[in-house]
Amino acid sequence: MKQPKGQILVIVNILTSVLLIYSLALVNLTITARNTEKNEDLKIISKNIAEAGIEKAVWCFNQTEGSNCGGTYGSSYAGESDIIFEEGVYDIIITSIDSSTKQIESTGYYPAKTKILSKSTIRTKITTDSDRASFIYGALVGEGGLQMSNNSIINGSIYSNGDVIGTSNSQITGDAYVAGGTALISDQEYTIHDDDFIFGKTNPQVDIAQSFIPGTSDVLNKISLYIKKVGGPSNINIRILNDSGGLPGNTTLASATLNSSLISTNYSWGEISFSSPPSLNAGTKYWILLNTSRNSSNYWIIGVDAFDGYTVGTMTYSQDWDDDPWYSSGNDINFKTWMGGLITKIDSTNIGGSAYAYRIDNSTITGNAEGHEINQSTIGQDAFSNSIINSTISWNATSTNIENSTVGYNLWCETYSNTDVEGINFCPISIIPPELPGPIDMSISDALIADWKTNAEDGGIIEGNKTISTDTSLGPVKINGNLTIDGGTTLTITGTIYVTGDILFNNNAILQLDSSYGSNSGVIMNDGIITIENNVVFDEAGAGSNILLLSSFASQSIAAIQVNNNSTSAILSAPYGIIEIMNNASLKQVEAYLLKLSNNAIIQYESGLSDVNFSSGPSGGWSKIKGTWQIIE
Amino acid sequence: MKKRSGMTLIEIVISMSIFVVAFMVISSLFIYHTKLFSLQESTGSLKLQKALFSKRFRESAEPAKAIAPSITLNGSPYISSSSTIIFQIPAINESDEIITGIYDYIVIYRENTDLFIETDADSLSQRKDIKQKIANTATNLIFRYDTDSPTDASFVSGYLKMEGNNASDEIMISAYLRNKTR
Repeated sequence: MKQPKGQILVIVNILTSVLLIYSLALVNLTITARNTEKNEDLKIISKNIAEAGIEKAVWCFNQTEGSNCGGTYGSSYAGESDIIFEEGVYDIIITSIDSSTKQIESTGYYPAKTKILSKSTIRTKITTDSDRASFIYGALVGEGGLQMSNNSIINGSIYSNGDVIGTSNSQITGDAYVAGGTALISDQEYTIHDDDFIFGKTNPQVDIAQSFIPGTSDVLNKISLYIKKVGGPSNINIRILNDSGGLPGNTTLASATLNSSLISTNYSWGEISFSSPPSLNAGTKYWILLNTSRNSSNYWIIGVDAFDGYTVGTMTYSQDWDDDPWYSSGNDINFKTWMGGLITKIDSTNIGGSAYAYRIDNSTITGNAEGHEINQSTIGQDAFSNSIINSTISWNATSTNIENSTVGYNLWCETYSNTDVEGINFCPISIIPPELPGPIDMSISDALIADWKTNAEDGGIIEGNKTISTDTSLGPVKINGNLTIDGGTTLTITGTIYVTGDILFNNNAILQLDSSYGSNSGVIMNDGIITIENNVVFDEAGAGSNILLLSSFASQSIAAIQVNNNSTSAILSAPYGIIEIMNNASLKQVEAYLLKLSNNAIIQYESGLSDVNFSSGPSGGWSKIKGTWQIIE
Repeated sequence: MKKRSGMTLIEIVISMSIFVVAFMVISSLFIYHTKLFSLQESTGSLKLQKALFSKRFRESAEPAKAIAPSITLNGSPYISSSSTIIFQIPAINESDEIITGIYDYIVIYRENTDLFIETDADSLSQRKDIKQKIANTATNLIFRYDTDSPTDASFVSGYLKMEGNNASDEIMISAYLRNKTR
């Protein structure tokens, strides 16, 4: 038998193979570990190069010339590429978020873009240390409202938390938003209708009254009466009277008129709002008086409860409420009282855009109109309301109730009377009235005002009154006194100026913002009154730059800022007071608790005012925004 | 009849001697390589873990807005201290944009010789909740802060020591919190 040969060789081969495999695995592990460590080191190098790019970009944003920044600098810095740094290269890409915020994206390459061993991208955002404000409307008015007279014009849109009242030829070329006020709260009501009571037809049922006791202490803004008319009776004078021994007293707390033309010959809830709402006390008895005149053919009928079921009040009648005796009717009037809240309106104003308000009265609206009540107005496009009375709607009308009106296209409503519809009448159909705009805050916050005061004070304090008689540069500074700029002299603002007293700009004074402000805006503010006399000129530093005059003076009778003839080009703000603009004065934008425009005053809104940067002075610069740094790659 | 041939005693002794010598040489070589492999494998593994710790620590620390004082993950409370660190990092959306006011949290801690990095991501964040073991040989983990209170820190350092199979390694890495508001 032949013996097998070569076992040793086989064994040696196996052992060698195992060792070889082990060795290869070991080499692989070693190489992997080494490469991982090396890649991490290279990544740190490229990241550091990218961070250098970020620092360079911030530096360039704060430069005043571009020789080391690729030609661009400051707010206009546009980034760079292929910038060699140490052993690598970086690119900088700038993205503008808005005028005061930029995004910097820096990519670092090691050792070169053509031979990349490592690449890192870092992104961050930067901002100027200026304060921002957004003036979206030509005029922003508080609860005091807007009063326009004699050809005054607002070229732009307005937003008012109070009434907008115009007179002859006053005009708003843009949209008008009037906050709907706060909602009225229903307090007392009695609506059981099982009988009718005729008054104003025969004696002694001429004047009628209903007593009630408020459940809460508040102002009485509105009452509603379930009423109809026969023929064309005279208007009803509505009064809120005190109680005198269980009968109506002679003290009138508030009065209003229920216009006969607004009431139909069918029952409906007539609403009467008080222009000066009386403050009523909970638990105290008051009377609603309906005072009219007698006419046997034209009279009133009001819905009543035949059984005097309203336990806290009752109904009486008299031939003449303040001369003749009262008689109990044994009924209760169908009525509602509305406490609290605030009703706002647009009245007697020409509006070139659309109008939004609780009430729109006696106005001409070129665009759409939305509100709770539209009365005696002309609407150029669509109207959407809870009530439309005595109005002309050129396009479509949508309203819960519409009376005595004309609709150019189609009509959607729940009830209507005496209304001409040129298109299709879809009534009756359920209508949900439009929601009204709510009140908004002023563009400049109290915190911002406080910051500006601090910035001014940091620049130094001048004690006593300051008069500028020769051309002068001033700011940042706080003046503990009054500031007067004499006629013909130029005051150059080099920082925020805060005056604790009054500011007077005499005729032909010039207010110049220092050129170092660039596209930023400057502020002059005070705690007293600002008076701007004739032909005062406000010169900005450059494109996008503005001058803001701000008065913190709080008064509802004395003007915080008064602008006289021909003064031009500034932003005015009196968040707690009145601004009066007269006689051909032209302003960029105005904000006030109450704004009064008269005699050809013009507010010429500029679109750039939606994004205004205020600088405390020439030191304004760019810095990183914490919380925006991130590694992209 | 053909005479059968065989091996003499001397031949057998010589062949066995050669075999024993060869076996001993090969065995010692095998044992040596096994030890060498084990050492090298351990060294390589420690290098990998060290690099991973360095990378993850940096990626967590640099974008952090702050060191969070404490957090509870899956029922376990963690407190920023010398042995545990919690980074509060701005969350990011699908476009890699920072979501203002929303934050993710990353915790680095040690359990016995295991080193964990655990992410607690906000529901709006692109990051995911994940618990990752990045080392299994950690024998010491120390964090240091530039302030007495970790939550006030804007500069943090992490020290990691690893030991295994006769090999050891260590690393100290530091980072500024780039998004910290000082």
